[in-house]
Amino acid sequence: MNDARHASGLVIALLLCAAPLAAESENDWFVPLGPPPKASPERISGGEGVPPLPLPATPLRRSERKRQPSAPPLIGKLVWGEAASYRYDTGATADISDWNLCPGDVQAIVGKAQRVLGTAYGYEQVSLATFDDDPTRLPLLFVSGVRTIRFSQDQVARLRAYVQRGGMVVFDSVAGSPYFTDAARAFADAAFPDAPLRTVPEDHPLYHMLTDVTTVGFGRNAPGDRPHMEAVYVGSRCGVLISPYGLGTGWDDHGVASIEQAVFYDVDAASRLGLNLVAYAVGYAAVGQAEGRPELFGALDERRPANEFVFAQVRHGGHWDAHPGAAVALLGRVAADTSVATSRKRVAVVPGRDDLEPYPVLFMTGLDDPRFDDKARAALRAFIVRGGTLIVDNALGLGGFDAAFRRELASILPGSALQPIPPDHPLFSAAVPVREAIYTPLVTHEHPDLTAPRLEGLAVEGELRVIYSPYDLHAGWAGVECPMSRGFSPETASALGLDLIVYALTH
Amino acid sequence: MMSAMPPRALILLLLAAAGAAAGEAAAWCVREGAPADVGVVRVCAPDGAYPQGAAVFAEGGGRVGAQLLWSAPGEPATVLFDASGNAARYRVEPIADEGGWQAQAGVIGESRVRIDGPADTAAQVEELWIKAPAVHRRDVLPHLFWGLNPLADTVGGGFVAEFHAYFRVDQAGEYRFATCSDDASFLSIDGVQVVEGGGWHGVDADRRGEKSAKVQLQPGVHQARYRYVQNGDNPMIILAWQPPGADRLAPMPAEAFAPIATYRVDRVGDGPWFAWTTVDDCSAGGQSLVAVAFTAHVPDGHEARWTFDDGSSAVGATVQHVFARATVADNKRRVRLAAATGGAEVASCERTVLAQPRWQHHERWSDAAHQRLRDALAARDVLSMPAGDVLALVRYADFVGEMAWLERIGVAIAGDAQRWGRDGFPLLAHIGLRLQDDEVRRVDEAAACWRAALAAQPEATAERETIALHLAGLCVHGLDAADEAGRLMAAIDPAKLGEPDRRLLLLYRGDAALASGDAAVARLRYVEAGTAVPRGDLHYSVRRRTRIEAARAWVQRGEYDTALQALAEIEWETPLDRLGAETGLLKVRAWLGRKQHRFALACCKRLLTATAADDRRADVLAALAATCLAAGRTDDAAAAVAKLTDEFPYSEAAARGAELLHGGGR
Repeated sequence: MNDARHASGLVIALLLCAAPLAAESENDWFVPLGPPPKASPERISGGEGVPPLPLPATPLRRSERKRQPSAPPLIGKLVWGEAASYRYDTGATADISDWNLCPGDVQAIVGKAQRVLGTAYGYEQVSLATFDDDPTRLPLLFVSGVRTIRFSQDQVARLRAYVQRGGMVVFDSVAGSPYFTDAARAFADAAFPDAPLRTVPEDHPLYHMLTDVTTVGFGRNAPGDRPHMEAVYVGSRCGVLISPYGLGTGWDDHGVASIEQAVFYDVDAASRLGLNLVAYAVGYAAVGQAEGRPELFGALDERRPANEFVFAQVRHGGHWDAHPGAAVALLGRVAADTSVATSRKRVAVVPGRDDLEPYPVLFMTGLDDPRFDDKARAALRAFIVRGGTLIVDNALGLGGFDAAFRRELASILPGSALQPIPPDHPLFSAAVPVREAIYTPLVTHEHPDLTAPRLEGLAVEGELRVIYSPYDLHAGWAGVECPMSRGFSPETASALGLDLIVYALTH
Repeated sequence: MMSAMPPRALILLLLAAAGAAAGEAAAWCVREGAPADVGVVRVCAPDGAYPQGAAVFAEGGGRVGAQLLWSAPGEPATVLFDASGNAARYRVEPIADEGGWQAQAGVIGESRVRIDGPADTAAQVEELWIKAPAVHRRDVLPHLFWGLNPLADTVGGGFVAEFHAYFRVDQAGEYRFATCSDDASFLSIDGVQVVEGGGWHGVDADRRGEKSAKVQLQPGVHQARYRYVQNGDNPMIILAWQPPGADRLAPMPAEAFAPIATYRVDRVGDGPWFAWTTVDDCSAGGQSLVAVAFTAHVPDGHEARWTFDDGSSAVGATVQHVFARATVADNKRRVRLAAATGGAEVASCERTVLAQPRWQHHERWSDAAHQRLRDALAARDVLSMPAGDVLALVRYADFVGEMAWLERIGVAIAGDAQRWGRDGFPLLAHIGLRLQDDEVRRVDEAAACWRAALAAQPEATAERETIALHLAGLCVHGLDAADEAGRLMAAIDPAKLGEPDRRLLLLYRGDAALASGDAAVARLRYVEAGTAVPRGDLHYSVRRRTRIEAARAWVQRGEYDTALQALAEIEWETPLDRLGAETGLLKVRAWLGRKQHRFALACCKRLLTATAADDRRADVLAALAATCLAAGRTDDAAAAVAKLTDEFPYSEAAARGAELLHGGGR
């Protein structure tokens, strides 16, 4: 009934008490969230007997002529569902809508972000009927509610395309209603059936863009002291983000007074999460647009002649395609700057299913646990043992992938462990000499003395067969800048990329 | 309250030094309006005629008490005198007064420069008053109800003032007096301190009369002394009272003060002379346009010929002239009046005239006044005006955003840029800045002005080196003249530049290297310039990204000026961005949007050097093709697309470029 196509004019009249109510069905959540309105103050009679002295005119001055244009829109708040009118037991009434139970949320967080970022951003109301689904015009679509929101197939397809081109859809279950959260999850499943929702890890940039959010407070019914968000990864981004606990009321500096079971962040936590969310949406907008570009190839690239290097990338059970387009960018450099003959098209291979024989080099990356099965582990073991080189890149430099990959490697090659590759290793001069590395600001902040290129490796029969970059390399190949990630600068990343390919092919 | 008089001998000495004989400067005046015991007259006398004193004589009678209230070069001398005899005429002579006589009527105020120091107590304010290094001005005021400094232009700065107000009461009884002020004020009645409102504060707390006191008064004239200190801006000065029987406090009306009769001069000396008064003014951005009305007194049958020091002339007994250069620091103008008959001048006089706004006029800005004064000046040929006047005009037009007017002035100046000579440097430098401004975009004319400015002043001063730097930047970014830029920058003495400009020099050198195809040298220069990002600012990259995205949005919405400003700031903070294509491509789009094709082309050229081995080169080539098409250079566009197709055969940019060319070709 709560179709996202438009807000209907349906009006429901209910009687509400000022005390929090126990919600038994989803309609019980559909109530005003803020405190009940105060009764109008009685007119004070008498007042000040003495009128104030008048003030003289002050000089009229010409103000500066430069005008600042209005702020570019950042957030579109989706209009959906139904409207209702409620009567409190005090006699006061309130008009509410599914989409706008916290009317001040977006305005408040954009205002708070402006104070921190120094850049003003605007917001607008968006109806899916007229939604301009160009992410360069509106990077973030914000959906707030408590009841079930449903999308038509056509709407799902449009939102999917919006996200894939770089847009971000954020669902805020504003009172922590399970009905809305489940509906959001259902949308994510429908839109991205091959990309399951993942819990955003604590070291993800989303929690650190402007302020470190490690522990949080809740207004009521605290499920713990950690933030919890679920995301569909699209490229290296969170394309769809779901907050099962309410954010909006905290942005607007209040809580959910009217629902007993409500779960929502307190004002401080919600505001810090919101600031990071705004910064993330803006900061990763260019990443989304770059990674959303189609990879174009020619007929020759499709044919893959035997004398050409083919970039094969491991497709695993985790999020395997972290920076689409990065490989193609690197291959362009390989073709232009080295004598290596290369196809421009990368190939995704599944170890244990696809034949790894034709490939001397395998590239692998991820944002979380790659989740190999035994067959895949055996195939990778065979690939390494027969002389292949596995190049592994920790996209965004997240701890989850790092731990999982080390665990998997120990399982693929028992008894082995990665060792730092010394800076004078021939790898670092295979194509382009790299003596000093430039890292992203976060790495520099955490390791001020780190100036050498840091890679780790595993030698088999005296040869480097596994090369692991704990810091994101291939974001730099594409020239995209992932704020608050742990990685190499584009320049260092490209140089190391060339070195890695040439070294792997010549050893 | 006013300054003590110097010894008579010194006065006579000063008078002699001023070269104005008393006879030449003697003025005859008649009353206008109602009589009063005290009169005031403003005498437009020869320069230096009233150094320290004035004597007043009643026609058909003797000398009366007089007080020279104010005399300064270029201003009429203000003389108060005892008019209780109500003579038909009075004669004012510039000789020392006898001392002792003080006007006890109206409101007489004096404003002084404020030194730093507290104003919490009456003693502290006394100290500020005594130690004030200079007097702004003294004058007769109608009341004490001001939202400005009625005596001088102290906008943006503090001042300390003292007002003596004389008021008559007819009824004995209890009177309540209040001060309401921003900031400190202290009120005494008949020499007794009654209200203290010290410290830095606004008026809100005073508006219901919190700072007030009751005083028993007998019928007669009484004196209120109001001392006032303003810290910063937005002065507010209110003297209020509540006479017996009144139900509330109210600002003291003008009628409450003992009246002063106004006298008008009808002759000065024997030769031609003239009087002047400001009749129209408009101030903005520290500049003022001022219209002064001149009234000539020449013998009957003679023609009055005027010559103004801004290159203009006029004929007529009464004329109005608009001065463009009328700032507080630079407001003394020379005006010559000649009496002519039969085509020949028979006598003349020349005066310094202070062209300044009316300080008591609260409309510092008025659209109507601005239009009147602008229209008067727009009809003037700027090439006949002195450089300083044109510069003042340009600054005013710039502040108020009269860009079309500014453009006309600039183009006229650039058309004959060599004429200004050495004095023209500040004008040429400034108008060059405006001509290449976002809103004018006359870069060739800007370059012409700057080249002339550099020729006008060959010595390497800080200002000259800055202009050379600007011209070099223009050559690199908009004129496709990297060679000239190189020569200019090679000659710049970095030691003469301030720190930001030294850094800008490095950036421009890098840009020039890029324009010449040398990315390695450009990189060296940018690295040498370093970033302007605070060390340890972990979240700078986040803020930088948000600004880039904002710039992208502005470009999309056609807000090109704002976008280019934001991008320039980013490239200033992190110069290596000049080697990436992200900010550069946005700049190209913005310049294309502004139809500044030369800037867009030059930027594409630099980006091609910067991205020689970069995946984004495809986008740069596509942007180059679009720019060439927009500039009408179809062949160059085709060449760019051909290059794009060759280097990036399967790229989206190549497809876009081909489509663009195809569409453009149709």
